Amino acid sequence: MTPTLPADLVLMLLADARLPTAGHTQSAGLEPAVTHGLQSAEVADYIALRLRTVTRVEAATAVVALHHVRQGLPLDDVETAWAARTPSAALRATSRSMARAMLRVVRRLWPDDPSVRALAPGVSRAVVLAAVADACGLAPVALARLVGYDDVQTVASAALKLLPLDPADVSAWVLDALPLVDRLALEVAPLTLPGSIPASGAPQIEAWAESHAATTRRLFSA
Amino acid sequence: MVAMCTADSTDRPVIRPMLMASDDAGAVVSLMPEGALLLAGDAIAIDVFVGPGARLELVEPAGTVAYPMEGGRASWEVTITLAPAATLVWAGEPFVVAEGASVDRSTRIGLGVGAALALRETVVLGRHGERPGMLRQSLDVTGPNGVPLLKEELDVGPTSSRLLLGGARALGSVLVLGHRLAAGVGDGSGTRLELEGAGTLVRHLASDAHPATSAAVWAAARRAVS
Repeated sequence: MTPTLPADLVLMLLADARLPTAGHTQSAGLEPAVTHGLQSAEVADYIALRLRTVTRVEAATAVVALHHVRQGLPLDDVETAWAARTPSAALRATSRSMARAMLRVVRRLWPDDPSVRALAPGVSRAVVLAAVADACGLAPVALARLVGYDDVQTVASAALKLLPLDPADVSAWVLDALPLVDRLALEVAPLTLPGSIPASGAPQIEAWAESHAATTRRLFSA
Repeated sequence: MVAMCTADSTDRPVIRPMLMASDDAGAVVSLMPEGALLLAGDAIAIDVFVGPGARLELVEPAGTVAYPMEGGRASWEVTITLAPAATLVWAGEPFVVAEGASVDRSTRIGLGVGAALALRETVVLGRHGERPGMLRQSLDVTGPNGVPLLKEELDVGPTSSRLLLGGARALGSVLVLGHRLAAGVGDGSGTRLELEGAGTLVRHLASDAHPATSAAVWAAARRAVS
């Protein structure tokens, strides 16, 4: 733990796209969505849909994993629950590859933290984020906000590379999404059991993710 | 094998399981509705149990339509329990949620060691020319010792985001559990989802029930569990 650091400063660090965790390789599924016809006017709707579905699953998984880390419970059950709620192999692979990139950084930042050291290779991003949250003393609701916020900003920054948009307009969409992020965080923050993780699927997002994994014509890895 | 189906009140039709064929290899049972389903207040519960090493095939004589419910709702709950080495093949027919209908549809599946399942489902949102009805759907699959294999919730209705189903009116799925579909099946036409555990889900998002069901994928699913 690094209890002397204020939580909001740690959150800024973790949410900062300049943290070298390969965030620039990600579009949160926006690239295949645009390839399949998603219009600029639909980006805000896309952000909101993710917060209700796949990102909700990830945020809840992170919160439940944090509880398991803090209680000394095994993380395997959390990982299995997440995998059962993530039927797309492409989305699971993306999460685990992002987890690897994040793990490399956090092992450098918190080399002595027992939660970080205990992470098994190949875990999902939500589980790595939970260990980081434990290392930094973050509350569950802050961790859930981080997951939601990061997803919104990932879509937003990718949107500027994929679509002819005014960056100020995109920032306004991010601001508009913040209440949704907060609602999501407050909803999932009390969760402790793997079985209680919501399983809200998004069939079209999953279909786009699978088709993107099979193409080489792309700017973003996912 | 047991298949028991009831509606909420005694004056509503039930779904009756009818044995169509039976031999050493297993049984074929048809789920026959005895009247118009699904209306407001109907609570259908279908429990399927396949014993150790047994094989059951379920067929439906026709699709199901959930009719407009004027503020009411109906439920359709399926519970499938497969004993060790049991096999179930269920060729579901389209389930149409008419505009104005509101349906809770849940499927719970428990697989024993070595059990196998091939399940075909097609959900259609609205009859031709209609807006979608309201559907709250959940799928919860566990393997031996209650290990979760697949869990999925889907809430769709007339105000849902177009991006949820990409504007599709029909969602077809073929689920194989206990085995994986052969390589290449479902590629190109639908979305092939390889589960973390032993299983494959192939989905088709389509404008209509017919293109949402792939005969080739279903044939491969049957082969995978035979």
